[in-house]
Amino acid sequence: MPDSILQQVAQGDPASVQACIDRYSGLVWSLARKRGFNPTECEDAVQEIFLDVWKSAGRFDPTVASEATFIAMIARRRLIDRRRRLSRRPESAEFDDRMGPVENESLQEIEVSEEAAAAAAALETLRPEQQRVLRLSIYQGLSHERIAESTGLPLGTVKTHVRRGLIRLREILGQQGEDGAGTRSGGAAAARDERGEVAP
Amino acid sequence: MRSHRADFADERLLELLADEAVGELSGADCAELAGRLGGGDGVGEHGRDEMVYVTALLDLSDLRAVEPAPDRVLEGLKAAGAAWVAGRANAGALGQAGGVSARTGSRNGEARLALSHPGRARSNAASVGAGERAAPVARRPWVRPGAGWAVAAVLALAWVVWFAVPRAGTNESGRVTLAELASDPKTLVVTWQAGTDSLGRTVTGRVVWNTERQTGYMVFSGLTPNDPSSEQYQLWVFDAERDERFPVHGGVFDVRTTESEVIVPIEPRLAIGDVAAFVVTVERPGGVWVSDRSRIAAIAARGG
Repeated sequence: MPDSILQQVAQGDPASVQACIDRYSGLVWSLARKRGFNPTECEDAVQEIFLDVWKSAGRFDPTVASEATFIAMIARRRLIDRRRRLSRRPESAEFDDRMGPVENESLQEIEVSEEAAAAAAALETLRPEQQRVLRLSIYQGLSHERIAESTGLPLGTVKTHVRRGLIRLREILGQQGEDGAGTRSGGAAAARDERGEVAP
Repeated sequence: MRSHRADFADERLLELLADEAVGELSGADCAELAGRLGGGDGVGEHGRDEMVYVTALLDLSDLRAVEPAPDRVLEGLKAAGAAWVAGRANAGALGQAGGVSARTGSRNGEARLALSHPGRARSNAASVGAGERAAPVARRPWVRPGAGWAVAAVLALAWVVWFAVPRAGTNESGRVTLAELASDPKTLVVTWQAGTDSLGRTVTGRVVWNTERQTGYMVFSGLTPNDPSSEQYQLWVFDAERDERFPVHGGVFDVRTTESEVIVPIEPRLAIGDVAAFVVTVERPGGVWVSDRSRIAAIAARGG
């Protein structure tokens, strides 16, 4: 099997650095935008994330995660760091006229990876309150405090839902990995198990 | 993570990693997490990342479409990538020459800065007055220490070594003095000419640069003082051995007087091979990754 882009980056192949940009710049940019940073912060964040990706390329293990997931993990850490540094929440990000709506034709549909689809499916297996809180935390990037305000749940309950929910997701995904079933169907099967239903 | 799930005996550790993955780790919890991970919880590298793995997968599942990065971002990435590759190659060459690893630690901040966005290097801006030599000031690392990524220090190893090695004729900050540099027969001296921007309309002076020492000074007279809150001067070094589209960022600086000479040290972020020209542009505070070259204050072209 040929080396992946990140493995080539780790080996010092100059062309692979550009290939990495070509393939994943849109993904990283979109993840940064999703966090609600202003354009300047997004630009800085993308630079920061890619430098981290190149530096960390030697740690990439294709048997553990896909390249996109590996990069998304780095992106998440860096974006959290940036948000902390800025001491502001994504929902309060200021509008910038350079950050207007994106023309539909410039968007590229992406195929959700099997592992990401499995994670989404696993999320749907959690108890409704856990799902709700996790969606607000991860999809919308809200702080625990903000989630508590918007849902009326006690702060401690929000924190517990996030923790227990993530721990449960880890268990489900880990089980799928051990079963060699990290696929959409595997995620769906896990979903049924979590709800106490009998998997077919 | 796939089939690499770590065996967590410590439920509290999982909770801390969950908090970390959603950016809700308090200062005390952060210290506790570091202590538990450093205490040999045995979760390993993959275990450390498991919660971030889960949240990253959810991030990906929530992306319905990918928006192409703007051209300016791609240009910046391309330049950063080229710099990273060059720095890695330089680091390898210097590492083989020996003496690198022992000297990198004390200059870690500079190693980070070398990769930082100019906009994040405000503290690097040298504000200079009459006859002053603007010494490099303390620099704010671009990323928080211990963030798990020490920012590709390899890029700056060459630069680190240059500054870490004491050399004859240096001042108390370790820099070679302007007088010493000017007396070196290998030093290049090029005169400034006015650029297209009004701030440089009356500029005169010279650039003193020594490729062998990889250091130099800009000496200005008549360069209009700038308002740092709205704009700053940025030096670009055009290297004949590099792509003309990607000049080397040489530092951001301010000018506060026109009454006498202003002296600014040159701090290129990459090794310069064959100087073709020095160009000072006017940019947004903090500088830019890629200049649109619309506001050129001064040019010192070799042979020009």
